[in-house]
Amino acid sequence: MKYPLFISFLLICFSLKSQTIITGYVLDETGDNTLIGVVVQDCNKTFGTVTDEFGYFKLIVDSLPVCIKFSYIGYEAKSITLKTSDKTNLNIKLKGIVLNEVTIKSTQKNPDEQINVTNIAVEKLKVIPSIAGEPDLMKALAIAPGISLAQEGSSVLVVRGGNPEQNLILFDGIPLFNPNHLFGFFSAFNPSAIGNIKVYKGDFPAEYGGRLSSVIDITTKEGPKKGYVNNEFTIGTLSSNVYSEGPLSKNKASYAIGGRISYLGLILLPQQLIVKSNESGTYTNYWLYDVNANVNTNVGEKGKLKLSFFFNNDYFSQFDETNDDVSEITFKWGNTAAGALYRLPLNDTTFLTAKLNYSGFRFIANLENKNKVDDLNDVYTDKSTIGNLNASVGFDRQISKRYILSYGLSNDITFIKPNKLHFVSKINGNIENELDTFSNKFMCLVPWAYIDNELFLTRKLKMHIGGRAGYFYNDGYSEFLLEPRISLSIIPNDFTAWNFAVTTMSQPFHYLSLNSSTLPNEIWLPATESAPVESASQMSIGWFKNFHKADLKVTAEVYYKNMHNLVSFVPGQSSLFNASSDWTERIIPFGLGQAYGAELFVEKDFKYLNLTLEYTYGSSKRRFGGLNNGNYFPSKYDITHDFGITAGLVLTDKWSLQTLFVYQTGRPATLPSAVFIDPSGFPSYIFDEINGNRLPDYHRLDFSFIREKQISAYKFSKWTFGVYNVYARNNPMYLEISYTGLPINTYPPIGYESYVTQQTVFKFVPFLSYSLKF
Amino acid sequence: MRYLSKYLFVVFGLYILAACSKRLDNYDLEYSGDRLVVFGNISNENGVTIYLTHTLPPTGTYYLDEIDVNVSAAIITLLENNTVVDTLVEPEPGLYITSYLPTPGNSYSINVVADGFETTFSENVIFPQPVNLEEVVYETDFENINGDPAFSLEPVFTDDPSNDNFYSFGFRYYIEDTVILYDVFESPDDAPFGCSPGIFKFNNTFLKLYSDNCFAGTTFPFKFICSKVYHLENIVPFEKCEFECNVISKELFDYVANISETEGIELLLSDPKLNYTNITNGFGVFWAQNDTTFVYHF
Repeated sequence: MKYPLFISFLLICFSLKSQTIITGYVLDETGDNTLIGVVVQDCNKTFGTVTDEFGYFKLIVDSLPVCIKFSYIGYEAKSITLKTSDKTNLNIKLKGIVLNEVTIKSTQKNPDEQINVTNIAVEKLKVIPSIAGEPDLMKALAIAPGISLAQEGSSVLVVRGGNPEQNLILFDGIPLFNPNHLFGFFSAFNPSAIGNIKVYKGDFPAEYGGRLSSVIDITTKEGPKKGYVNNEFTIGTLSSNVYSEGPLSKNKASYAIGGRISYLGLILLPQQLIVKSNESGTYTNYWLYDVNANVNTNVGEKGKLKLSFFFNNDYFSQFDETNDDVSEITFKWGNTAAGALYRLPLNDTTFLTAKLNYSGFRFIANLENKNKVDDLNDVYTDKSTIGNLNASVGFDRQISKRYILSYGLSNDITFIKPNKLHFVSKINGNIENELDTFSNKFMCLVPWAYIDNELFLTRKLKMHIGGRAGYFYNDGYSEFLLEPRISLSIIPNDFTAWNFAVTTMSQPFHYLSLNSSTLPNEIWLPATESAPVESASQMSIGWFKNFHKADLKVTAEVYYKNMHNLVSFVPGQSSLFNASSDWTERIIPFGLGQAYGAELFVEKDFKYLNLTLEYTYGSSKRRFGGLNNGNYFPSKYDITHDFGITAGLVLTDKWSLQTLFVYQTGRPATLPSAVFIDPSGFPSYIFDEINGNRLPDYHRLDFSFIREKQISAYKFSKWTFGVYNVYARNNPMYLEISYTGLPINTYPPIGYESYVTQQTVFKFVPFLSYSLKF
Repeated sequence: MRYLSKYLFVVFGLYILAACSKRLDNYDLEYSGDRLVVFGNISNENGVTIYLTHTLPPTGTYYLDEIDVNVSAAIITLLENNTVVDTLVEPEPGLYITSYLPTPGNSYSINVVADGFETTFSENVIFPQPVNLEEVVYETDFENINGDPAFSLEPVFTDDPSNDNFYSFGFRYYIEDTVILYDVFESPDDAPFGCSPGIFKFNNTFLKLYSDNCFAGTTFPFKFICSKVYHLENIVPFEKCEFECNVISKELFDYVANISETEGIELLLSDPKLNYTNITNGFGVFWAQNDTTFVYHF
């Protein structure tokens, strides 16, 4: 078996002669915007490629003449025939077609590219109903199989039984650590600014690494390099956002900038004013905002440079004043990221990509207790930060029509201050006591190299073979990291594909989070000798079929994933304001994880109706020494059955209706298995098992009506209104055990009634938003 | 910090009209079966005192005067340095005692055999050295934070820097021979996080617990403000106060820290804690306590 493969490889490598390389850009009809992800195929659909983030493509053909077809969602397909090799550098313009929201279909791709990847059109994600009426693209991704939300209402994703921190979230190629607002309930990505989202669930391209479960690759929109400035303004129930894009220098450079701010703080202001005037009571304050921007410019004749910037910030405070005592707790967190991406075709067959990125995340908690009479003031500050500086260079080289070689190098420098606690106590303004604890600092180096060989072994057989190798170094601890990856695609015809993939991933940074929370208050930690680098291997088999005559597409996949060296908090432990021990004493290292599942995705288009159906059967387990007697137990993301259906219906030329129904098996929960009366006479619950119980099953139905109107030639308005959880199901956010002393209002009680309480947060939530494009 | 989670819910409630908490009456949790619960210690003043009860189903209604959780007729043996040295007697249902006195530096454990339960035993606990008190400063004739007449007790001692030490301070007010439990405040302020996990009630005494995290190798930084008011119900003045200054083994500190919210702020949706226990096949805690008691007559 070895020799035929090897011979095939050599034949492929040396089969370049007499072939023609066709390159170029694909643009919209104005020529202002490059189009990303356009499928470029020969008209017989035997081979093809897609345009990259700069709209660039490269196709090698055996001989001329050749017919090439360009197809892209929302645009009329275009075919051209090249007869001679005089002009093989093309600029193709595609004409846009007017699409109602619900007629948006998945991008037509090579059939094997539909497996292990979720790439739902952003315009389709934008119309999925969401809690505040404003599109949340991250939440909307949960309509895809194998992807679920970390908890109800959250924008934090869980992919194939992994943990949220195991997702590599790339914003224009820059890794982000915690891009969420409002304790994880809203993603920090401005929907107006996003051009494309691609989620790799398995069969990861070799250039990506550093996380175990998925790669969420988010690309922002580019502004037009000529023509008019486009603006968009959206006002919603919770926040408003603005977006603007336009040329900076005609035909050379463009900009795009977006910002969003919430008015939670304004809504809470009256409460704050009342408390301040009464000098008694409690108020809460919350502000959040995010900004993202990019500049695209041509560099020289062929080079392109994209500069991207991302910033988000959340501020939460709770103030309490009783008698002479004042306490205030404040949380602040956010990301700052900036990056430069440079692409240059070195020649007809080789592409250079260079990146330089910085990404940082900070979390600061502050607790202040004050006594106004005695002028006592205690302040606790807990700070965790992580910063990552990355430089990389990569090359894509089309060796022959049947062989594409990609390789590159990168270096990561990561700075971590996991959990710095500062305490200062003042009396009459004078410092009485000051304490600094756990001010550990880490600087970690991770140089990487990757290589990927994309081999078209036959017309019906394609193979990726390659992987990544790296070296992790942290203060005397080092580890060699090897991530081999291989996949084989069988493409019997233009509409069918099978894919078999085995991938490995490693994650040199741990994330400590509470077992049942997605609050951003937890900490990133470097791998150490006592908590080594996490690793995962995944095997997947997928099948895709496009029943094109019936406008029906079906994807079915199965996967099995093993994870090693996971880290967890000791139950009941948190990092916050904990001076009794540092993080090394509060973790359980060397955890194991196991996840497997089967996924089904069906999409059917009717004339006025688009239907999607997803179903995932999954299992996700963890095993940590000392927990549940060292046995495997369900992870908090263990959802056995996950079913979702979306329907988009065109009602009139202005009105459309979107509906979403979701059903999920209840998630695991940790509840007591016994109680005893402690020496103080109060019930004390016994928790024998982590995640030994289940929440009740989850289901809900959402709908939204969308009204779009063209006000003038360049002005469009859009109203969206609807209801989240239409039939007001009491879906549990979590369960907790509670007791009531008996008789009620008697102290001390002589008896107790002990029962389970369910907390529901999102029950029948109406929403409304208005958007204006001009 | 439970209030934090409540107010987060208020925030969400402003936007989400129908956020709610619902009691699930039909959601009965599976009971893991009766297991022994052991609370007790070995001290230089009282010997061994053990309260033996059993667990109950996690959901349901219990009237303490109707259910009998005490476990009687158990055989509890005391081991010193892994050798049986005494068997406890049961003067009243569920209470087991012996006057066997411990020696600092020796290890002690108990073994419990009771009908219908697995044999249960504690881990070894080391009996600590006594606190090396220089003096207890007693001040009177001032007011506590509520404006009531009060006195203060300040134990003056220096922590032994060569060991991790754990302390408890107990207060008992008496009206004739009846013990009345009453609040005691620290001064100058609440102990910082990680220094004091909280209060534990045992044998009619509130024990305020401390580790030496905040004053390792230095002088104990707090004094205790005790009210001198009349007992509220009987309008009878207190007659005396007993003040205990104890060195305890780490097990009690760990038990209280485990159930206390000061071990990291308990945030919204935080994980429940698995119970700390040093009792195998059961729950509760067995610890060693070297007592030094003072009596103040009013």
